[in-house]
Amino acid sequence: MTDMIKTNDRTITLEILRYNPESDEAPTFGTFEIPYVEDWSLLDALEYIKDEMDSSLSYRWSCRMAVCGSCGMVINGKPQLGCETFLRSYYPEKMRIEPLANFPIERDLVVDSSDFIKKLESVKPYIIDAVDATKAAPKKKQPEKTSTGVYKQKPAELGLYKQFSMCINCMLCYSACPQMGLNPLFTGPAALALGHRYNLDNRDQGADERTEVIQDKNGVWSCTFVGYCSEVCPKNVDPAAAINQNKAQGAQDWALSFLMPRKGDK
Amino acid sequence: MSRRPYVRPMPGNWFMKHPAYRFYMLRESSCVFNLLYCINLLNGLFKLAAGPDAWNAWMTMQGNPLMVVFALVTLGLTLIHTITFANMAPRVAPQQVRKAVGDMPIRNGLLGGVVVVNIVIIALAAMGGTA
Repeated sequence: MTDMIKTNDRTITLEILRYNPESDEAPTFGTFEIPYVEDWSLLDALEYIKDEMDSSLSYRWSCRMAVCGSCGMVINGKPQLGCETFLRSYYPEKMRIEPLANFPIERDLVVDSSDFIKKLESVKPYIIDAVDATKAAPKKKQPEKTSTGVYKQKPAELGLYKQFSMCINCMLCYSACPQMGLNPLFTGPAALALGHRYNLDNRDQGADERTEVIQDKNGVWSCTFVGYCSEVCPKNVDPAAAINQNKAQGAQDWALSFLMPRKGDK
Repeated sequence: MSRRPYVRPMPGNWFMKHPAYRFYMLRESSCVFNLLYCINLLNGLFKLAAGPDAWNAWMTMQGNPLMVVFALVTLGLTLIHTITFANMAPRVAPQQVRKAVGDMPIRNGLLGGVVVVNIVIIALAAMGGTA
């Protein structure tokens, strides 16, 4: 790495929002001038700062290839993954790096994600079998089981929800959502998209159990379709679509509840 | 080491802070102008019922430069509303429908509908003018 740095004398400036809970009252920007290396990602640059300039710099990272969802941060105002953001896209302009918006800052670029984890759990993101379903009788036809005891699923049935299952929990959509900042109780894009993913799964019978969270005023109805969550999503999950499909479904269920109060039962 | 998470305040002018939010507010503001324009049209209908003098006064008012600017702004915002609505509609369609039909037919169907309705209205207005 050092050989590569010696070969060029170009530099790029990084402004990073720093916050040390032990000494700082509020976060302030720290400036770092680092060597400009064309094939460095922002994560490489942060690693350089931590190794060579300031070992106290805190940030989360793991896979370096946009699958773990750890290194989400706000770069020049846009929520992005540090590992797939390259210095060359900004050079010679400076880069301004902040922790994800709408989350409490734990330290530097590290945010407190415990509330997000609770919201993910609240939509029951797992297959609820007809046997385990606690509410109402299953509305969907139960798929056939194979001799080994697993459900059969056709490619088209997989295709229905696959997009919504690609989420890596990077929380970029939460950072992009202004409603999240205005109403911190909002369940939020990723969690609602995940609930929708299980509702669309033909093996699942738990839609009625998720309704309470999904159709709550802090569920899909807190969304105003700003749509920026889907724009920043690194996996094209399109959480805005998931949320707004549920609004349409909710409105339809509400209207039908007057016509069929017993849901078609006698 | 003690934890002391810092919660950043949401600025009151958050919608000015990002291009995506600014466009969102522009899109949503179309409803304000559409409401005002509808009130203006409704007022025109009452003036029509009230007799020729009231109607002519209302028609003269529509020619006021301020009213023309208002009508043009409303038209522009309504176009933004129409196009963004058509672009977003396929994503609100049930996933089963979306997968079966695809996004473009839903979008183009809506935009096509808008064009047809407008042609019919303009044709009726033109025929009314000659009759």
